[in-house]
Amino acid sequence: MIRICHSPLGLDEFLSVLEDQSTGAVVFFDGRVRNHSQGKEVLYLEYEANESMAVKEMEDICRRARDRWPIEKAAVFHRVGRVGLGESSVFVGVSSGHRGPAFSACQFIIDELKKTVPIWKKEFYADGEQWIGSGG
Amino acid sequence: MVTISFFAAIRERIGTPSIQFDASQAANVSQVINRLIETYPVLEEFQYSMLVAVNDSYAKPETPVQSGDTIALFPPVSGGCCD
Repeated sequence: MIRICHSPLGLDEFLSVLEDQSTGAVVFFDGRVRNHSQGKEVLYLEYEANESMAVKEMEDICRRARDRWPIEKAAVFHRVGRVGLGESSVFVGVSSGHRGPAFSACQFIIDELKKTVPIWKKEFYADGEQWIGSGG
Repeated sequence: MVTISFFAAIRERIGTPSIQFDASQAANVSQVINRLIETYPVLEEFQYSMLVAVNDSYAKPETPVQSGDTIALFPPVSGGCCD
């Protein structure tokens, strides 16, 4: 299941999506907002998404993970809007019969997400703000 | 007419999230962008770094464009979290 969320990510709901009694392993990744970046103190972040395309790209990444590893369930929840320090901006989770494929697929999904999914992050500092990776 | 959507730094520089654009003289993505730059010269600074999607799929300069399409222009992506 893929979801773009405009409010804090719910861990219980996320983990319930991964429930499957045929699986013995659930691996999940919780990406959080850090208080510093490139030597600067970060106050908070804002995420913006091209939502319909982001959902489609994330579905494609999960499909590719399923093609590559024997996993049962894969889910991504990504937050958009203002996200405070220590809050979760992304959950990625996978359930599988055994732990090896679950770890591998989970890492694959978060790594690919950062390459192709149209979501952008803006950092806010005490003295300004900056889009990350914008090239402009 | 096509719908052009802008995201992140490009949206901020253009000053609006989307516009309707007469692309009747433009047959592909590259031609649409050249026409857009005439109207929005500020786009020039993003010309070589920005990514383009047509109807929610990544597109190339030669990807054909027709009336009713939605074309998204955006900077390299930076979602997720920590590097």
